[in-house]
Amino acid sequence: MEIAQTADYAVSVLLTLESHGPQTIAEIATRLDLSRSVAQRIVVTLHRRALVMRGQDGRYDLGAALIKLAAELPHELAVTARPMVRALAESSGETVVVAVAEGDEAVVVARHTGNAGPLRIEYQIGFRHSLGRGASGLAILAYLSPQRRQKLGLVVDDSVLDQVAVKGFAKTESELQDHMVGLAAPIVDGEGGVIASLAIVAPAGRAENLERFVPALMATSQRISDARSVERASVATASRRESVPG
Amino acid sequence: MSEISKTADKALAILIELSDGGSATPQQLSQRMKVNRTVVQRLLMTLLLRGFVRRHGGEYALAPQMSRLAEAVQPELRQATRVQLSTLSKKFGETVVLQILDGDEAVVLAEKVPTSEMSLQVRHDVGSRSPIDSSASGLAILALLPEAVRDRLTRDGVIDARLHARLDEIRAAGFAQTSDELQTGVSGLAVPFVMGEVVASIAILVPTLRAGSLLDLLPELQRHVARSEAKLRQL
Repeated sequence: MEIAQTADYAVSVLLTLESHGPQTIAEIATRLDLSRSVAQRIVVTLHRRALVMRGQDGRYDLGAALIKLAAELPHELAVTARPMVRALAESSGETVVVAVAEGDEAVVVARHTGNAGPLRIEYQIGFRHSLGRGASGLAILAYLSPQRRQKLGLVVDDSVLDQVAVKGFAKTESELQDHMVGLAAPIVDGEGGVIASLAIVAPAGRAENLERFVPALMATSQRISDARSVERASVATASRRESVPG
Repeated sequence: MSEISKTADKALAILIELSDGGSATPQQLSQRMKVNRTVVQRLLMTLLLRGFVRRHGGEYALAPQMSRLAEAVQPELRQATRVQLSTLSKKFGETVVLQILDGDEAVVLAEKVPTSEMSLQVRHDVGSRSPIDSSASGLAILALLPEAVRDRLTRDGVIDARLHARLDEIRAAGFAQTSDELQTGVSGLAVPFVMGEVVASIAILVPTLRAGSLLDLLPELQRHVARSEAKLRQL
């Protein structure tokens, strides 16, 4: 099946801005091997739809309409992790959540509510908290490089984080909410290091034996990490293969 | 105005259609957009190969990697203001927006609307643009722009030279207030701030019939803008 060349240029401009930051029309033309007039026409097309914006220096950057476009979309990792999150929630009977690191916060992007009993932990997609609190946050923070950690400026006891890194998971009690216990393991992305965490959250009344789920938690976070790496590799291959349109 | 590429624009229109209407077959897209089905299929293939859409059965949907592009739009600015926007919106029960300059216009980067089962609110969608010389956000941003940029915008006919005196006042006061200038029935109060080369503003937008005591909100708005600025310096 044929592709539409100029449509492909438009999409390529967005990907170029994502990987190289703000660019002038001339820079875009050089990077994509286009004539200046074609690059200009493509950028104007994108700008009319607010998919790119123009800075005062004349450089174009990714535009605000992209935010609206993606507003209803599930997070990339949520799509990958969903079946595994569900399986863990069903086997443990407790609520399982995936939280991704965003700046100095953890944001819940996927969850499956457990059904061990009428007392259940409810999480909203989009719920955010500091990386410095809760098992979900600490499991991410403990695996960030010391430089990145320092830059975030969160006040967390280093010995707590060291312990998380040694054990491979974080455990907290009543840090985000009273009477709630969390166990969390990091989700890593081959090259990029830790990107998220997988957590089992339970009411304190069921906390006593919660650690029996640690092996399943760690195996699942490993599986999500692996699936993520496979996906990224296939996307990279596809875009390399298709990088010369026509 | 420069020409646009019609084919590229149709591909973008497909992305917007899939975002608004959810997943769809090529047939459905063809009908809704009044574009030939063969063309729709070729555009979808183009988008599929670049990972912008995914296929499930016979239906196409936006691919989750679109979120990655969305996250790359002014990440620091949005991150540093997120908490402040929702706090302000919740506290005042009004719509709060973050705007920056996009070429000769102001564009909305974030919008926080208070949650309510039923109420009258001003809406200013993310990605929508408006003339800089007629909204509180635009005027606030204009007032903080370097002299050279302001002069260029005046030369280009984007703003009127008579506006300069008002901009000087806004700069001195640290805020801009408008009533029914851009849209009848809408009032705004905006405080600008600078991040590197980028000038941004946070504004409270209210229906004019509730704007009587809008200025009372200024100290709180200024405090939250200051907090966002402090956070930006850390990032």
